[in-house]
Amino acid sequence: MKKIVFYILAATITTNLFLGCEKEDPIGPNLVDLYGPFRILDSLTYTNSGVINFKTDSVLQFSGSWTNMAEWKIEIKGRTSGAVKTITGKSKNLDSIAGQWNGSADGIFFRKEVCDVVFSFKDYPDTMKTTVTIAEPRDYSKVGYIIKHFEGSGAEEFWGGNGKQAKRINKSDAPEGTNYFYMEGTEGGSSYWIGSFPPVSAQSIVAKPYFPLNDADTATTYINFFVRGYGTANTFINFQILEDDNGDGVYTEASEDSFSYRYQVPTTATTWQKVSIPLSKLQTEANAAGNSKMEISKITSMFVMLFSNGIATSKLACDIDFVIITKGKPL
Amino acid sequence: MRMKKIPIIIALSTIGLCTYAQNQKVTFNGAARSSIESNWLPQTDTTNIDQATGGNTVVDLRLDIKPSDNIRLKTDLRFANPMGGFWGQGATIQLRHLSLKGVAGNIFKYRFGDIDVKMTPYTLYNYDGELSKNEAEIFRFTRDINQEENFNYGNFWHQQGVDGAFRLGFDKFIQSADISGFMVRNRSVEGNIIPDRLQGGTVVKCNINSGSYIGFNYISLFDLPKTVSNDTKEKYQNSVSTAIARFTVKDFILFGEAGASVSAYTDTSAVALKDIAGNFFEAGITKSLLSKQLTLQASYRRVSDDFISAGAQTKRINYSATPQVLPLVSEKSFTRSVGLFDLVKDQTIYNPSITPQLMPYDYSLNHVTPYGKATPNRKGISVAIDYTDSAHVYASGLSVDLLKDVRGEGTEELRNYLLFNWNGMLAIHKLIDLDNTLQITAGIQYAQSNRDGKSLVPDVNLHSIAYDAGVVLELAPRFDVLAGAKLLTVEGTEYASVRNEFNEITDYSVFSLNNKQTLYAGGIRYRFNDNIALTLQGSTYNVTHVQKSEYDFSIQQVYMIFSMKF
Repeated sequence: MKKIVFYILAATITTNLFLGCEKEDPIGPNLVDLYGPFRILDSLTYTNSGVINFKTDSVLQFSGSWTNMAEWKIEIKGRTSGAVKTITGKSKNLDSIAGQWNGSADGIFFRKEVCDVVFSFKDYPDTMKTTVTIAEPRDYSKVGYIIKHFEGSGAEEFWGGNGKQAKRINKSDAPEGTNYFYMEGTEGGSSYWIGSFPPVSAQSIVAKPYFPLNDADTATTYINFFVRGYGTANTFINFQILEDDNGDGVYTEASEDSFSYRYQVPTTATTWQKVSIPLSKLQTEANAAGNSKMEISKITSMFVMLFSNGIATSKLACDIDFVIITKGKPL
Repeated sequence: MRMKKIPIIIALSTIGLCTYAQNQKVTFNGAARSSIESNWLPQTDTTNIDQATGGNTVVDLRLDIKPSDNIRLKTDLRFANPMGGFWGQGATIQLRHLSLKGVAGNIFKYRFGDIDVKMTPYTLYNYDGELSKNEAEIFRFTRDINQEENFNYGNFWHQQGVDGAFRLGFDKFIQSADISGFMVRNRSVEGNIIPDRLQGGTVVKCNINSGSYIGFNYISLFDLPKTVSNDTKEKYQNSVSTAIARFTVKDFILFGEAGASVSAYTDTSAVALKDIAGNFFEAGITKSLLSKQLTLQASYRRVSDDFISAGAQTKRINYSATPQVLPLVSEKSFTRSVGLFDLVKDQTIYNPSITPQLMPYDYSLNHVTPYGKATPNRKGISVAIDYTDSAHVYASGLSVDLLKDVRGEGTEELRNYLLFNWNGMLAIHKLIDLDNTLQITAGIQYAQSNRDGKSLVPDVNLHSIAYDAGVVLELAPRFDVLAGAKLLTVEGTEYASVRNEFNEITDYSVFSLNNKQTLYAGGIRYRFNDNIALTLQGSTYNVTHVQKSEYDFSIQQVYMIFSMKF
């Protein structure tokens, strides 16, 4: 018995000592990938041949690779529109969905134009540059319900105002398309309402009595728009939604709810700003007579108005474009 | 157990007393202590709460009831009153221990209730807290109290369950076989989501003669099926099987243990989500000389990177805990981590249960074997020399671990580790024949890890050194002066591994340390007899950083305790 145990131990020791001499594969992520010297392996490029049509091609896939896990940034800037799109991520290459661009913009939209693309890293000085030509910009009509975009040559009805309001056509500085609308009015004191577009009904947009929205998504359903101010004080844009609480197909002011949100145009916002407001921020109107419960599945129509805060002001003015309702995320 | 249960306990006690009076089948013993402490930050700290005081009085009443010759019932009732809990406010009565043990048919020993369990260093073992070897008496005194408070007796885990043991005698091949087993509850079901978890183990040890045996160990930590209805909750099982042998050949002892671990995660339909297998091996030799006063030991071990043994790798100290005493310090007002001061002073940093995930540890204390011998991904030799003379005048121990990674972590390069420990005791009063005690203790621990980054990544070059010194001087009969010091410096760069729930490395965090901790303590103690003592201690704890002085801080403490056993 003693010899048996001794031989077993001796054999096990010998086996393990030999095993111990073999170099096994490392465990865990590669340290060189994380902490080693940085260098570019494949330069920045993209799948298309220099031209992208966002109406037919859903995304532009950038590619490129480098040695270390690193935080990176792609900045795309339109030479004509000045639109900017920034994409960020942390990886060793751009092969994943993180390196895709669907033609969207951080602010004003891209047009048919040439874009400069600059790729940079947070912790390394290396940069890569290229250009992309947009043959057709992204079709935003599919991302939500467009309330107002002011495209086309037809007249735009506007109630109130001081007569100087106007639709601006074929403008190169439009944030979307070529047109936008200039609103202007005067606040004599305690008027608040300065002017308004006629209500936009769900029927006219989606051919149904109500916008197809879910009550549970109130906080993630947005009113989005572009606005540009002229430095005028006390200038507001008021968004008002009208609900058909009793389901009779029409909004009745005397017995049903309306909610609104007054966005003040900053006096410093003299360039186009993209603004997104969740519907959950809309407040019930003082004279609303319904169940006081916001039910976005019952919205029949919507007003876009020029408003003030009631302080006498000789001139209230701003440009507005591309009012759109989006679901799930802001524009 | 709160005040509402006092009548029940008093009734039980009364029954016990009556029984004692009638037939002396109940015996009492216990312990009591009353402590008061004051802790404060220096006046230069203007940001945080500067002072904290506390204290309490506790009486542990232990009843040992023998309803029959073969059955014993043990209870431990605690009466506690925090300082400031006047007229019973805040007072509690706790049932700290309840167990029943006996012998069936003079063959089978069994225990129910609170039991202490231990197997081998690779299966179930509660490793000592860091820097506790040969600690100065002034530190050992408070650390022992904290460990007792947390039921850390030796290297046992205090658990709740049942165990049993019996011995079989043989005429041929082996003299006898010891067979034992236990089953404890590791975790109870929570909210119909977290399943019940049990831990069971068995040991079979075949005794060839008085100095030799071969054996088998098996332990498993597992989720109990069908204790929750949540379909998506995964089930866990960690099993370790080992063979063990000890063999005495003349004056040499050969010993060894080898085994394998399996960690399996399955969903409720028993589909394997993860299946991780690991192994280990240790073999060594021990030689005793000078009438067993000098012991030499050398061993080799290899523990694979995926060897998981929850019972052996769970740490005694929870380094994620927030220290109880003045946790916010420095002008930065940051929450300090567990340090030298807390290791000997804080009883809230102890980990009570066995956990399947590798727990975090302090790289400055011991980053070579943070999970003891069962630390995964280590191979190499260990050498130890221990000497204690027959009169206990001198005692000294020296151990060296020269280890390497089994597999590189993120690189093919392997770390080299060195862990050096020396500790010594000198009873001067015995040496020069004094009546009063004069004894000094000292210890050094050096831990180092190195790995060449090949100029591609930062090198690993972390080293720490800890000194421990203490003295006990009996100025007058039973009146002692105590003093102790602990110093710890750490410097260098290491990579902390980030692990997922399966203990797999998913990321690293490279860090550099360059700091120093010092803990000095002095005090006096009067021993009324061998069981009753009054101690007054003062301590100062400093943490300094070479490059980040804004994180420096210090804590002072005065601590008085009256303790007795009866």
